[in-house]
Amino acid sequence: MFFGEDYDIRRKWFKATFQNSDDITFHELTANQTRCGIVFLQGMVDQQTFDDQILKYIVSPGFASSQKELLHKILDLQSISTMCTSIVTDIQEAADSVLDGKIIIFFEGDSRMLVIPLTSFEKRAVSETSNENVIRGPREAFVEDIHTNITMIRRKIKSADLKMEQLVIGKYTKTKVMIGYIEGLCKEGLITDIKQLINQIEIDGVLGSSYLEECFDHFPLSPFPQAQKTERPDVAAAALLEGRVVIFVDGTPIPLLVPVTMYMFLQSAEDYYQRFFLTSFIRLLRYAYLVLSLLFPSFYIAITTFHPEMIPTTLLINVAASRDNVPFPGLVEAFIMEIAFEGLREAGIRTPKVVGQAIGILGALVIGQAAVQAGIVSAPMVIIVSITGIASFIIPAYDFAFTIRLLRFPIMILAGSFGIFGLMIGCILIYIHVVSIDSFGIPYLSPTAPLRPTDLKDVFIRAPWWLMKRRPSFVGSSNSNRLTIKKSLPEDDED
Amino acid sequence: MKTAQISQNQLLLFFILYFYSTLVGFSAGHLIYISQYDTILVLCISGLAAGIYAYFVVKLANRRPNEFFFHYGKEIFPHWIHILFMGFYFLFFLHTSAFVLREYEDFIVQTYLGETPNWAVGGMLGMVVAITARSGIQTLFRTAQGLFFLILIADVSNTIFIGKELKWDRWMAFVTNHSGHGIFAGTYLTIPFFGEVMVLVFIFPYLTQKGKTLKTTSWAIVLGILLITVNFIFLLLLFGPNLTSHITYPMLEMVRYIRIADFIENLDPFLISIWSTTVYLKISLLFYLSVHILAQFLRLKDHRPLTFSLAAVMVALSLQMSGGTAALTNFYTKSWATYSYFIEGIPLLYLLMDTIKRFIKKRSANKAH
Repeated sequence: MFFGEDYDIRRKWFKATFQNSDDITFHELTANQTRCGIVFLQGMVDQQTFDDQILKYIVSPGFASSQKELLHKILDLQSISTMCTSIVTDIQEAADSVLDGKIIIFFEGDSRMLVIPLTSFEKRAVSETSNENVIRGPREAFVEDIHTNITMIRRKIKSADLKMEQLVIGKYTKTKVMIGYIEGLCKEGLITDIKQLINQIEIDGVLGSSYLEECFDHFPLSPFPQAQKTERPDVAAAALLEGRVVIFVDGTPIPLLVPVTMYMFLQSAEDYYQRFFLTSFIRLLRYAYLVLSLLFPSFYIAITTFHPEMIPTTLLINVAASRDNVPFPGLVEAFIMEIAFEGLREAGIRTPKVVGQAIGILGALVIGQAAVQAGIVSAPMVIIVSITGIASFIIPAYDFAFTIRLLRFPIMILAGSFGIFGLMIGCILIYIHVVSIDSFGIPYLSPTAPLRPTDLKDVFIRAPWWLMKRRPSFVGSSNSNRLTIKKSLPEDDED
Repeated sequence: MKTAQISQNQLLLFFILYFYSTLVGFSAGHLIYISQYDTILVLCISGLAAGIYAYFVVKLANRRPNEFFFHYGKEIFPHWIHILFMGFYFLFFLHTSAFVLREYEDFIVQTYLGETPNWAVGGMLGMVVAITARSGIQTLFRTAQGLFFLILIADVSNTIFIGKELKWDRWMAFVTNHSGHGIFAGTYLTIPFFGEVMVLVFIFPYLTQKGKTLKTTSWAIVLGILLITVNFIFLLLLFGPNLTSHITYPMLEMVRYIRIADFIENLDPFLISIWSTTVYLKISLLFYLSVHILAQFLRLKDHRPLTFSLAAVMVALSLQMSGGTAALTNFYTKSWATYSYFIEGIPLLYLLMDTIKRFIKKRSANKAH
């Protein structure tokens, strides 16, 4: 919208547009016989700096001798200031800038409006990670402010090849989305695809990265997450260095990392800060617990219901004795316990920290002890459910662990109906699904299906750095060399 | 239709599992009954014959590498003959998938799920097969690639754990006990197992690096036979030929012999469930091919709408095809091999006809010059 040089029309338009918005400040002053209008959002700008550095000079008597000179000097701020001031003539654009926390100054007799980005608002300081804790690595976590987050990445990757492309999304929220990638490492066409997908989204507001994630899931009905989330700048930087893309969304401390494979959800930041022996052992342990988390209750149900011959006789007698008083079949018993455990877990997250501990004790006592004594569930089932619960917390990615917990229930039904055969059917169904999905064209089970033996160095174990000389080929570009160790030759003895 | 999705590595691993699946699980008893200690020799001869057969199959497929057999076949034979042959293939694949499914249903119901009806087991596995076929051939081969190592570990552990139970004195019989009739009858029965490499004609456009297909297939036959041979040798050393041939599922009995550290007494449900995935892969490929041919018959661009309905037909066929295991075994021992020779011979007819046509065309072109 263009209203020309008329000051009053523009003033009326601003007043009308921001009617009933008492937080919008409209200020008028006359400098050198020229009327100036200043519009800004209270609490979003650094008023002190504006007053001291700009306003004070504009209104001072010696600042300009004529209206022409005044306009020239003020608008010249664009070229001399490091604040990245800009000039707009479109009044709608000016209003959007106000809402974005910038100061607008418009003048009588000139259509140009000065936009001063003195945005300043309260934001949370960088704090320690709360979900992805490590023992040896860095402890800082992303915050809600997108610029702070990008700074944290820029501090780690000081290369001109690190690109950050901005998009704005949300009809009302006008949320900034930054797509970060390293040119030359990222697969060609991936950025275009991502931008295209984001631009296709027309939504009222984006209040978190999950809004975008669900919109660009290639397999929206899949329970498996198709983007990785992290609160750690080092994880995001590592993803960028592998040729992956980081999508920051303003207002959320958790950016999205794409593309992703299933194995990435089982990698923790700690894996790269400890020695590879330890890390490899822990990673194998994680896989074992992943299987336990998914199958342990189902396996117990299948064995006790259909294949008791699989367990040693003494154990079988003990299990049978403890199940003697329980009126429910194994499947129902397992369901009662699992649902109770999930309820406890959810309650533990939602309740205040002080009460949370009490709930834990209460839950353990009531469900663990009293339920066994009352003959509602058997003691082995309590052990099974507890181990399964612990196993699910060993998976580093929360959303992936949740998927596994969710899939446990249908497998339990299959195992309760068909024994090990049902268990196998359940596993095959999950496996077919996982094999058939992908994340931005990268098969979800890469690098095992399709098999890429060279990329297996950082999947089930973590090979030492000096063996991982090449970047994972399935995510990034063909530019694959990431490590070269130049061995220094021993100096020749003079004699 | 999207082609070039299956890598040579995926093809190799899939074929190994394909050969291993039913031959080890369901046919061991009958083959050992026929060939006794010559079974190993029979396997090697059959593998050699299948390798030669694969050469011709790949040669036929290589002549039009990016076209589907259903489409180019009518250029070789008159249209109605080609349609008839394709009809045979559709029925063969559907019937064989139903047959293997029935074998599996009987096996599971007889050994583990005594009170579960066949239809429940068939319905469950049929559903999984339908979902796999719906996901496409790429998913199927990728699934095999992932499962291969799990199955290999299970099989190797099985052979390691059973090692101490074997009666090694029987070794000499492999050298001394031979029967010409046993070798002939066993080979006649076993060649069609490996002859199922004819599926290559149907999946050829989906392969990448098509030039390596013969090499891959040959390796798959060699490695498949190696894996099967180890199991058969262990069966013969453990039970001897007479006992083996009188057990319905000798592999199952062998697995049941495993005792680990006097603690885990019966691992068989676990190991059998891992082996079951190979049966699932075999049924899935056969079923996929029948759906694929039917989709081409109906000129559909997408085969997916047909999968669930045809899977229901397959499950129904598996339930109705015989009155019991005896009738099923009777079909397998009496008719299956000859029936398979007929079906597996069809690509050779196409190759012969195509060669004659090319020869005539070349000669008339030469004459015209």
